[in-house]
Parts: sequence; structure tokens; C-alpha cells
Amino acid sequence: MPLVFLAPLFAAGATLVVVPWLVHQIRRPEREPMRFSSVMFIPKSDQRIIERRRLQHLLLMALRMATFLMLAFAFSRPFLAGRLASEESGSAADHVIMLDTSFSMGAEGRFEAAIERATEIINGINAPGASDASERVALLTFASSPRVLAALEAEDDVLAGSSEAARAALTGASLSEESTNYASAIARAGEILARNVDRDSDEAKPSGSPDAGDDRRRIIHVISDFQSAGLSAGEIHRKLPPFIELRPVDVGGHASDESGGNRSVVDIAVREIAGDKLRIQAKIKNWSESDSHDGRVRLIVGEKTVVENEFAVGPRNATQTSFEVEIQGRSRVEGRVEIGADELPIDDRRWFAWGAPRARSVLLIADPKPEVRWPASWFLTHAINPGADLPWETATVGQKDFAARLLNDPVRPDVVMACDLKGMSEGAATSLLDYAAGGGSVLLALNSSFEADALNERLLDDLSLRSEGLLRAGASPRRFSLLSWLDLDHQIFAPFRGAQYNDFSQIRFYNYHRIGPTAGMAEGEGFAGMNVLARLEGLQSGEKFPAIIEVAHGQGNFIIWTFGFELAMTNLPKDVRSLPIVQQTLRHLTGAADERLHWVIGETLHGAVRPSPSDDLWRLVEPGEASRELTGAELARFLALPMRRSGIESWSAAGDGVASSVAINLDSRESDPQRVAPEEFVHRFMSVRPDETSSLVAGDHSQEADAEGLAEGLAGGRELGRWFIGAMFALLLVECWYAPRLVR
Amino acid sequence: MQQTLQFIDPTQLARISDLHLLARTVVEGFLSGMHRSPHAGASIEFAQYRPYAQGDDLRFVDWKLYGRTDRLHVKQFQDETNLRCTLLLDCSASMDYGSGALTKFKYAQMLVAALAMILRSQRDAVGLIAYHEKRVTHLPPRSDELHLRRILSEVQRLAPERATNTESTLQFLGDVLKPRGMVILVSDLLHPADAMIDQLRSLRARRHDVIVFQISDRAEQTFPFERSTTFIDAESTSELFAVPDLVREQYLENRSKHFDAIRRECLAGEIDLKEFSTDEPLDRALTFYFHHRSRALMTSSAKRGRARVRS
Repeated sequence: MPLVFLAPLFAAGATLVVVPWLVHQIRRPEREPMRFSSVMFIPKSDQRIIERRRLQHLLLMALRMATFLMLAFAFSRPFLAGRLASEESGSAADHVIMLDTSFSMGAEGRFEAAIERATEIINGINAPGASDASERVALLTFASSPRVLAALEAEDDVLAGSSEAARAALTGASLSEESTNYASAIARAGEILARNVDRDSDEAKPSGSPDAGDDRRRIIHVISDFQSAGLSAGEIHRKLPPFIELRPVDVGGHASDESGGNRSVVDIAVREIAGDKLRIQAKIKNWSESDSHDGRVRLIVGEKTVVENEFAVGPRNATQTSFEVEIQGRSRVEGRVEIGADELPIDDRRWFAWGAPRARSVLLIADPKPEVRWPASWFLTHAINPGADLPWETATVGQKDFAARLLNDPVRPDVVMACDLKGMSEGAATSLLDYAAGGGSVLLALNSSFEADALNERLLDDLSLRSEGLLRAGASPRRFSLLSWLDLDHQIFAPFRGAQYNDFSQIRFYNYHRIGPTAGMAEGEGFAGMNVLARLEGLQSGEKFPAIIEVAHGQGNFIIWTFGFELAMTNLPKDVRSLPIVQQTLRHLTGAADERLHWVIGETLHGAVRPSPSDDLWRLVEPGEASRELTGAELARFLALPMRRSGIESWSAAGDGVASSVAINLDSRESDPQRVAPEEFVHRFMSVRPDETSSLVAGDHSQEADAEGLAEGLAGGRELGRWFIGAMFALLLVECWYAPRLVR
Repeated sequence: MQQTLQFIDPTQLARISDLHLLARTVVEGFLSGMHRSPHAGASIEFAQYRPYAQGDDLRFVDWKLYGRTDRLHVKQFQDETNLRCTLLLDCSASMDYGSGALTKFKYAQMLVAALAMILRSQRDAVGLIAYHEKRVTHLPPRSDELHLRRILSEVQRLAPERATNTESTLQFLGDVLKPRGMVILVSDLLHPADAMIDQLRSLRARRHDVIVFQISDRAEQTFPFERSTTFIDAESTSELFAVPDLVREQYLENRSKHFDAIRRECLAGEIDLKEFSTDEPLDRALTFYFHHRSRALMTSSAKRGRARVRS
């Protein structure tokens, strides 16, 4: 069980042991005789006492030296490498080879070395391919997520688990553009081996621990460059059980060994400036330990170099460069910023995309109410005044014309606002539901004209909501409710997150619809589609009714204002805070806030696009691929998958020709050459105590695991830093007790 | 006592390099702080009135007092002492020890200089013998100013060295001194005392007043050392390794025994002995001297049955 140091530089602190030695040498009494007037009164000391005293001082010096030693060792993170019981047995083994395919492995010669080491490991395994073979091997590649290339066993494949199968699968391994996530990959490898344990062992035994008769070794070989970023990418929920051995195979070399060093474009920002121009700012980082002079950075738009700049950046430092590009009436600009190739060329470029902000169409459904001086529609249209510099295009239509408008208008509105309705007609309700189910967004202000039964029957039942009617028959300004709670984390109330802005005590609600989930659907439990964004203060009965509800319906969603947004029901329209509430609600409903043009590999484009689930065809262009046609449903499913390639991804509806594009880039953290020692890597994933073990994804069996069995020689490595700290304090205590008692 | 402490700080005095100036500073400051002394006058001094008796010398009748009181009184005068004092200064190497700002020898130098200055101011004859294992200096008692300067100059020139041989010096002193003088020994007494005591008694037998100023260092009195150390004897250069915590008690006991024996012998031989530490003000030692002088006069008068009064 070798003792290694995870931070060996701190072990140099062990030289501090000379300090007590020096102090004792300098302060040795024999070294400083004292001239005294007369020694005639001084009795001779017993020689034995002198000898004892010398020994005591030696002991004190040893104590002090040991204290310094413990301190230095504690900081250098001593690690006692574990030893498996099965290691001694020389018995059969199951191997899982984990091959790192993150883009950092693309550094000069790194991936080739990894393939070579994997081949060596496979060649060293005697796995003929039979299910009862003495040794079996599986191959798993990983970057941001694991991918099993060769399984340990498969019912329909007699070669599963054989060296041949692994060797063949290894030829198919290739580098990806993803970043490293060790946690998910180790969990997957542990799952493979733990599942195998479950099958081999007795049914009655707890899952995740080996059977007493099963002495197969279970080994995970991790072939990687062991970048620190890979450890922080995913959370390590559970460590590997002790019967699984983790063997790191480092192919990363050392950062100082890198010949040319690595530079990368780590960030890019695009914004429109005056004069129909775009300013593109790129951040370039030099990860190496040497200066980078005379670097050149290019802006490439449409595969054509537009501008080229020079840059210089110091070691482990970053610099920023900016370009300006004329838009020239274009609604989209896409391209990349690129620097000269170095030893890791893949991170030398970063993509960008820009699209002209698109006006959102808002269809306002309002019945004329001449008897009301200031109806809700008046407030709402003024809140989203199209004459102002706001991205809204509004149109107003009556309730009876709404269905026809939706049917005949070739361009579907981005959001429908319904207010000032004189009840809800069946046709209008059906149209609203169909519109939302197809991905539309509806803002519904329930005024006092709505009758509960009709509203429930025609609209709310389909939304799994139910109205109990208005709070009171006639509203009075002297009787009102206040807001008791707001979901300040929600986008609608984002402007009010500061404590100085969220005083809503002057907003009064004279009347409102008492709406809740339908019977049998507990709010927030069985009915996940309903989200209360604001709640009114409780009644005498203790009930608290919502003021604003968001509820999903099909591909779209509803936001329902139970207070109608009219002066007879609330004074909110007269309050200045109504403006940001209306604006933010529309931004939320139209998805304008989610418009994000720069994404990182591994993310999904949720919220970036809402293709209709219709059979209309869309044209999709992936990075480095030819365009292909998909239906709206297929496109939606595709965009929900994590992105794997960097570049520009664009799609456009075949009919209207409106195109969307996003830039997909590498995770710049992966470019960081900071590495973790393989011993520390093992420590991170190997369990130390039985209560830290688990069968990983096969359920939490750690509590059931036989702790005694795990402790018997199966313990993995353990970090001894805390023991050394404890020993140091113990030594200090002994010294504090001993030194004053020592005869001086 | 507080006034006394404010009077002379030996550490401050040690900064005065000129011993004559130092001694004058000490003595003048000391005298200005005292009440008038019956011994401070020169020549014959008035002592008291006594009613005239038959046979009294009419020259000593105070006629002015007779005019005021109509009674005859005669004036009595105290006779001049004509003291011859010899100062013995121990210059052995053990005197060169000091744990504080002053060594014992430096303190002794200042003390001897101050005593010489006081004696001279009383017109007494003062002499000096400095010694270690041999006599270093011998200046017989004289009362002139030039002699005082010579003494001070000699004291300033001295440096402590070698071992101590007090008894031979005392023996020599007994041979050369006229009887009924005063001998003041300034030493740390860190040597076997029997022979020395015998010699001191011998001096007393010759009617000399003998005062012993024992100079000690505070570290010698308390042995405050903490760390184990090899101690080197200042005179014999012999070494002794000691663990202070272990030997302190025994050391103090040995020291106490040694000085108690000397003190006992001195008391029996009517020899005044007083110990002074180097951190004590000098005026304490001077006060002690004056008290001794006063007591010695009284004692001698009582022994003679009457004061040596000239009427």
C-alpha cells in the first residue's frame, strides 16, 4: 500500500524539521557558558540528572520536529493507495476501458497515445469471448457523456466482452468536440460492473457488493489527460464501491512539456452599434507558460476574411480584440473569429451569429365597452405602444372575429391577449385552446363579465382549472385584497427583485376570480402544468387564491390574470408598475427573452425555437453537414438533443423563409491545461468508508451493503491529511504539556 | 525613602565618567538633603550651655546671656574628632560581575569616591588601599584636597582582576595604621572568611572602627537563572555545569550560611557589616556610614564616662 503525496510540493516543507534542530543547537547550554562571580555556593549537579535532562531535551526536539513534519505532510495531502483483495488472488477480471475523447485529447499525439495504451491494455487481457471466460473487457468512450462502444456482455453477441470486440470497437473511437465530464462516465462504468456483480451474486445478497464466492476482479482503466475541468463538470454523487479498482492511465504529459503551448478564443460577444455596424469582441487566452507575440486573429464572415488584427498576450493571461462589420441591410450575420493554429487547433476559433431583432405580433381580443371609460384594452395597448421603440406589432380584433382571423391570417400571432371580453363564447374559447395547443401563447385577463360555469365549461376545464366565481358580487373600493406573495424568480417579476422595488402594498384588488386546480389535482403536486406566479392574501376562511397563473396547454401556454386588469377590479393599471409587468409578460410569452444566439456544445436549444408540430417542412443545416428537410415535430425533437458539433446551426421554415441560426462553440474550460494528479483522481472516485460506497446507478444499496465485507481488505485508497493534522495537534498538546515540565 | 530614591540612581551616576565630579555630585546632593549634623562643622563647635560652677573658666561664660537672664552660664564645645579613615577596595575579578547596568566594582568605585569626598569635607584624613591577591594601591590617610584628588584618580584607574586575598591586606593595614582610626572595607566577601574575620578583629583590638560594605549583585542574591548553564568562576576560571532549577535552593542556602557566619562574627567583634545591592541608591550606603559615625561617637563617649568636652 504505497503512500503518495497528491500535492508533493508541500512535502518540501518537511525540510522545516531543521528549524527545531537549529534552535536546539543554538540554544544548547553547553554552547553558552556564563561567567559568574563565584561558583563557591553552586553545588554540583548529579550527572544522571544532566543525562536525563539531555534526553528530555532530545525528546522535546523530536516532538517539535515531528510536529513540523506532520504539518508539512498534511499540506502535501498524503494518500494511501488502496489495494484490492482480489488483486492478490490473480483471479479472473472484468475490465472497463474508458477512453477520453474530449477535444483536449486532440493535442499533439495525445489521442494516438491513448489509443496505443488502450490497445496495450486490451492485448494484455485474455478475453476469448465466451461468457464464462476468465477475463472480459468493455470499451467506453466519454467526453461530456459516456458512450459504450463494446459491452461487457450481450445476449445476441457471443463476442461481447472479448478482446476482439473491444479491439474492433477501438478502431471506431474518434475525437469529439465535447468537454470532459468524468463523473457521468465513471458512474456509467461503475454501473456496468455493478450490474455484473448483481447478476453474478446471490439474489438474496444486497446489490452492489460482491458475492463471497465471486472473486472476479473489477477494474476500470481510465485513459485520459486528467484535466481539472473534467472533475468540476459533474457532481460526484457516489463513489465507486471498493471492490472496483480504478486505474488511471495518464496520457496528458505535463503542461510544462508542451512544446508550443495552447492559445484559444474563449469568448465572443456581438452587439449592434450606431451606423448599421456590428462590433464583435473576442477574448483570446494564452494557456501556456510563455509569452505569445505576433499572434494574428482574423474575423471570417461567410468563409471570407474580413479583418485581421495582431495580438500579444502574456503567459496564463488573456487579451481582447474587437472588429467592426457593416450590416448592409442584412438580417443575419454569421461567421467566426480565428487565430493561428497551435498544438490544439480545435479551440483556435469561435463562432458567432447575429440576427436583427424581429418584431413580435400581438393580437388583442377585446369587445367594445363604451360604458367603460378606461377599459383594460386601453391600458394594455398603451403599455405596448407600437409607436415606441418596442418590439411589438399590435392588432385588435373582436371576440366574434377572432376565430376567423386566426384561420385566415397567414402569419400566426406570437401572442394573443384577451381582455374586455363580454363572457367567453364557445368558438372563441375553442380557438384560444387550439391556438395554445399549437404552440401559441395567451394572456387572458378575466374581467367581471365572465360567468364561472360558462368559463369552466368552455375554457378552464381543458386547462385543469376551475373557477368558483367572483370573490364578491359588487366591488367596492373600501374592500380590497393585497398581494401576499410574488414569484420573484420568475421572469415576469425580474424587474422587482430589488428590495426597494417590490413594495406592492399600494396595489389593491377589489374583486377577482377565485380560481384553483380542478378537484383531485393538488396544486403543485399532481398537476405540474400549473404555476402560480402571484397570490392574493388569504380570506377569512384561510384560502389564498392566485392572482396570476401560468398553465401549459399543448405546445403553448396561458397566463391568466384573475383580476381582469380593469379599474373596477384593481388599481394596478393606474400604477406605474403595471408597465414592466405587461412588458415582461409579453416577453416571457413570446420567448423574446430566451433568444440566445450563442450556445455551448452539450447544451440543448430549448427555448431558442418553437417550431410548430405541424407537418410543415423545415430546412436544417448542421455544422459541417449538408442541409436536410424535417417536419416541425422532427425538428423540435432534434433541437431537444444536446449539440455535438461546433459551428453555425440554422433552420428555416420552408414556407415563409424566416430563418434562425445559432452559433455553437466549444466549452472553453476544456482548453485549460490545469491537470489533476492521477492519485487524486482515484481518491475522488474511490470510496474510503463503506458508507460512501454505492452501486452508483443501480440504486442506493450502500446502506444495505455488508460493511464488514467491504472493510475486509477491500478498502480503496484513503487520504490521510486529516490524520496528519490530528497527529500534529496531538503532538502540539503533548509538547505544551511536556515543555513546561521539562527541567531546564 | 522615596526622596532618597529620587536622589541618586546608581545607573545614572555611572554615566559620569569623572569620578571626582561623580563623588561631588553624590556628596553635595546627599548633604543638602540632610539635617544639620553635629559632625559637619569645622574646628570647635558649640554644644550646649551649663550653669556656671565654681572653678569654671570665666572665658567660657556667656556674658550676653547673663545680661538677658541675670544668671551665669558657661558654653560647652564639642571637640574635633581628627578621624583617620582608610578605605579598602576589593579589586578582585569577582567584583567585575553585574547582571544589571552596573558591576559590583563600578558600584564600589562610586561608593569609595563618595566616602572619600565626605570624609574630606569633614576635614578627616582619608587613605586608600586597593587590593586583590596583592596590594595594588596604598595611599596613607591625609586630609588635603590634593590627596583626595589623588585617591579619586587612583580609584578611577583601577580595574578588577585576579583572585582575592583580603586577610594579608588587613594584616598589612594593622601593621601600618596608627591606632584609633577607621577602616572601611568595600568587598563582595566572596572568599573564605575565617582569616579575614580574625584580621578584622585584630583591627578592632587596636581600637579601629571597622565598617564592612558588602557589595552584592541581585543575581547573586536570588540566582534567577532558568536555563542550564556552565558557570565559570570569575577568579579561578573553574567551570561548573548546573541546572538552576535544581541547584537554586542549595545555592541560596550555601550563600546564606557563608554570610550569616561572617555577620555573626562581625557582630561579635563589634564590626559593622551591611550588604548593598548594585541596584540600590548610593545614599543608602552613605546614610549607613553617618549613622555608624554617630553611634560610634556616642559609644566611645559612653565608654569614656563622659564626652570629650572642653569647657
